[in-house]
Amino acid sequence: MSDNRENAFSLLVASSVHDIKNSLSMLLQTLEDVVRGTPDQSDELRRQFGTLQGEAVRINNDLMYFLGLYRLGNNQLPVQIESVYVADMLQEQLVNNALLFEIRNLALTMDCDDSLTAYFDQTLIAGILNNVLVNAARYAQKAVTIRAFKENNLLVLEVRDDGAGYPDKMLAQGNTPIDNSDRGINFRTGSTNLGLQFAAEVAALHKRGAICGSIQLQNLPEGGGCFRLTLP
Amino acid sequence: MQKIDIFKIYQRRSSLVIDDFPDMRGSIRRMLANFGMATIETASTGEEAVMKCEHDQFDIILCDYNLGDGKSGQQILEELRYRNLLKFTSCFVMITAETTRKMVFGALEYQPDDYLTKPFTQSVLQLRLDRLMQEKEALFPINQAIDNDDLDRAIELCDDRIARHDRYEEKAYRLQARCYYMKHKFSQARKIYEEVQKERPVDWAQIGLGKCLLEMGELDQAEQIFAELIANNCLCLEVFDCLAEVKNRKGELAIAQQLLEHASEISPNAILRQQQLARISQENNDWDSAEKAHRKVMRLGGNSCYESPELYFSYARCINDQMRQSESKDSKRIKDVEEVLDRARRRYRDNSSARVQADVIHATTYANAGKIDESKRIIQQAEQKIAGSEELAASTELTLDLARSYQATGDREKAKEILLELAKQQPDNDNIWEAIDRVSDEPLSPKGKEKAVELNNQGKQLFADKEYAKAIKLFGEALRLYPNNIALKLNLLLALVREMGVIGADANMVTRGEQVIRSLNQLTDEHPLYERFNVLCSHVEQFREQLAENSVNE
Repeated sequence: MSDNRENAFSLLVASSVHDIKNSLSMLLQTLEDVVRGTPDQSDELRRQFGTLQGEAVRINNDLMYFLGLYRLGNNQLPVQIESVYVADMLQEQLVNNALLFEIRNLALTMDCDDSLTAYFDQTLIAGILNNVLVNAARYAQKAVTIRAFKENNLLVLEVRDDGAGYPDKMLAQGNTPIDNSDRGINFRTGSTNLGLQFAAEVAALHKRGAICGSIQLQNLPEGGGCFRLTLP
Repeated sequence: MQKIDIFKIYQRRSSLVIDDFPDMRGSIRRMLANFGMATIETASTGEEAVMKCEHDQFDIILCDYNLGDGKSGQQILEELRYRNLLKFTSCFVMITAETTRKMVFGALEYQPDDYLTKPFTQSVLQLRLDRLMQEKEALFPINQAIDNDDLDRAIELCDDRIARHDRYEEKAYRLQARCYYMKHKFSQARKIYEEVQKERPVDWAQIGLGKCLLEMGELDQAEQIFAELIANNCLCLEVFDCLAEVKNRKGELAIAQQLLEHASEISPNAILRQQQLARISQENNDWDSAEKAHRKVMRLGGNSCYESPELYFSYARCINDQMRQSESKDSKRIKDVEEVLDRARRRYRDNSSARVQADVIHATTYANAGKIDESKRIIQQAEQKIAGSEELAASTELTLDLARSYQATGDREKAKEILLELAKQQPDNDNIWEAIDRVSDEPLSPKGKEKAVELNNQGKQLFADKEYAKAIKLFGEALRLYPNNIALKLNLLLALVREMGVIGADANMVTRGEQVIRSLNQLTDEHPLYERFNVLCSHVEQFREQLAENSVNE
């Protein structure tokens, strides 16, 4: 009986998410059309476009965590490991966020060998990177870079910005192993917390032998923050 | 490839956009038009999409997974592939709202070329399609060979592609393994699946490997792979179907049924799975589950690529079997069969073979209900029609049903004669041999004979070990496969008697024994085993009397 209710709820979630995603698709595409079709944009207008775009993407990311954490809680978040061309995925994230960075006058670049391949769940990891990029766009001064490389047979994905860096509290949280007994959401710190938690859990779902994926937050000596995702 | 080349490629391509949300259709259509795509069609439902694909060949299909109440994107993809309306050289992109691919992950051979997660903008769509077009260009000769059913050529071309060691190497391996699998060269396919996983396991190759092992009869190894995939949360539902098939072949039917039921709960609309569930539940004598599955099959099958009179007939046969087994003459059941046969007759008005077959199945129902004369009358009429038509006489299914009807009227000799004649024409058709073994007193098929020897040896060992309860289970299960086998029935009786000799008289066992005895009432004193049968009957009778005494004493 509870299985049936669980299933019914699951279906309800799926159809609601579908509906919301349709709206977001329309919203984002229309916004892109408007931005591209508006000549002579004043700084004020650009700022407003930036807000619209940034918030729409944020709704989408939050929806992704909400759904992802719900499925994690039900042990229903499968990881589809496949061989991925890393540069392809990064390029997609670049294209995906091009407008946001353009509106905010930020440079977004990537540094990745074209032939680099790795094994991971493309959809989940892309979702995490997308969120980190949107976040970085809020704090960066001029530029954000994504780097991907292999280190000790592990894939490292890094998003570096030249902003003020992560606050100490987040640095502490980002580097603590996840404690499943305390999976509450901290409403004071807002959605960043949720995003980090989700990222850490998804990274941990990537396993090879005894090695699990992980995330790390660092502040760079030259200034700026660095989000580091390591996958086995 | 240069951007300008890609633009030129799009100008020569046609596409179909399938989405139930009009604004979304319009939005994607505008994006494609901006790429320079020459022909863009749209469809709002699965039916419309399939119809359009019947008329035109599309190079690119963009399909939303969730299309409201009608067919899902996955069902559209399956139907297009099943009916050869989607070429391997074309691309099918599934658009989903999910951030995981779980909801849409179909069977291995029914996977789209790519997934795209909503929301997406024109630039992302373009990037994906550009990449996909390049891949399709690179693999064009291989896919074309598969489209032309020239699998040997496709395998050769894959070798060429693999030798280049470029980014399409893994895809080429995957296509090659698939070709070998399609050619039933399972050991070659297996080698490839193992090769690509040298570094680490990947779901698609694990599933492929498991399926090869299953086909090669390596049931234990296959079981281990599928069980591991399930334990690792691989929600590709095909894995449940595969594990169920392993269990089925191992004779663990109850577990097979559970697995299929679990998969059906997650994805209730897969008709092939429902058909398998119906078959297995039937063998498990779980008539409720079998009927539920059969009804679902009929509902899902209407207007789909799987539509055929068989959908209705297998439901009718299921009720017939149930009536025979439970010795029920319930008029409600007769009505159920009549109703579904009428539906088949109406639906296939112009199909004379289906109409005669409906009559023949109806005759079985009458016979089961005790109306033997009525049954014989219908059989006679049907036989006249069959004699007058080469097409009808050539129908295997119809002939099998005719044999079943004769069997139901009690004329098992005639049934056997019909089946043996059929087996002469198609000696390799296992279904016919299975039916022959079902109607015969003793197994006649090579496989059945082998199985009988095996069962006999197992039984002997169990009797020697005094494991009578296990023997009851063994012979009981075997009787589901060979319900008329006299030796099996007598062995079951013997096991029941011996077990009660140890644990004392038991009401359920006595009832079961009496059922077996009733089913053997045609045994005459000319039969070599008649003497033994009589002795067992008297034993069962004694236990029944003991039961009666016990209840009086209490």
